[in-house]
Amino acid sequence: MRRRQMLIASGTVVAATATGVMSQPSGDNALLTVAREPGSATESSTATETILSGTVHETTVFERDAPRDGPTAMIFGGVHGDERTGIEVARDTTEWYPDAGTLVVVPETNRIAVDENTREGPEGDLNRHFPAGKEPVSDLARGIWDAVERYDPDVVLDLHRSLGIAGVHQQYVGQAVYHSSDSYGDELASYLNDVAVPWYMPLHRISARRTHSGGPLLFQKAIRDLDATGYLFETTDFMLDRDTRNEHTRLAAAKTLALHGLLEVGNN
Amino acid sequence: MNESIRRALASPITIATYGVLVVPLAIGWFETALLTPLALPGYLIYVLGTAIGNAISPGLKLKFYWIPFLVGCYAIAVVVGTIYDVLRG
Ligand SMILES: [Zn+2]
Repeated sequence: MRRRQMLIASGTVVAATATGVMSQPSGDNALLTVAREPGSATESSTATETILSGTVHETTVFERDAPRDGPTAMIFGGVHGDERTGIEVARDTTEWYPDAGTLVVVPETNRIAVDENTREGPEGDLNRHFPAGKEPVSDLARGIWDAVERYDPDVVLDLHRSLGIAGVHQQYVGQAVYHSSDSYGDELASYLNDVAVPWYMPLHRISARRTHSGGPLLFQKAIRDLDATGYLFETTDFMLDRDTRNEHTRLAAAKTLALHGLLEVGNN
Repeated sequence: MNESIRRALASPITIATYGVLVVPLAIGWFETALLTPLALPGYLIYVLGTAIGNAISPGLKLKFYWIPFLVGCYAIAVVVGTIYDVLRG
């Protein structure tokens, strides 16, 4: 009997591992290749800028202009310093080459919080510092907002990570795209469900959720004051390891740029 | 111990059911890429368990639901093992 139970157990392990390798979602290497390939890079120009320089919040902004005209997209990571997936993926995107328009990236928006690996910096939760009808309420928020106004982005994407899943765990917001009404939020969510979320993790499917622009979040202020198309992407660390969270987030960033014409898919 | 209770607690069907619910999910826990369709029953029990738990007790970290999950799956496995035994006569 022991032997039989051992066989059943080890058979389950082998079968589970084998089917796992065979049934992975496809991902989208074509899109990520387009994002990473310099293309006509000789024509594209890159620049970095230090904002809030000379202050404790000093952080770097990366700007890459494509040879062709197009929209300006701004990507933020590290608005919450312990949400490493947004920071790591935003750092990745500083190496991307848009085919049109301008890509502006702030990988470590709340630099002190990123360094300390905490959600908030000394001034509190940066993503509550942009109330409607008022100036941003902290030095950091004002400095970030000054930069945003200068770049005047058409598209804003803020990268986050939750501890649970929106619609499943009532106090959490993970596996969701929060988006303005003029956005491709539904397309983005269904794309991610196609290429990144396995069918056998149905409760991890990514939902598209329309945001109002009246709240105190950075992307809501961009929607409200600059008429930008806004997205806030939340993955989750609930049952997703670091590589998977980063892949979901990386594909969300690449697809957002593609949907807004910064990346040309199909030409490479 | 009563033979039928002993069988229900540790029959091959009970053990196999427990393994099917727990093992594929445990493998995927270590690496998401190793999660498979075989994990679906355990996945649904685990995630829905955390959803109910989170609604009742929002402060509790979701990873602590492994303990009730392991106990709950064993209870389900015992029920399956018992039903199998009864049907077989
Ligand atoms: Zn966040």
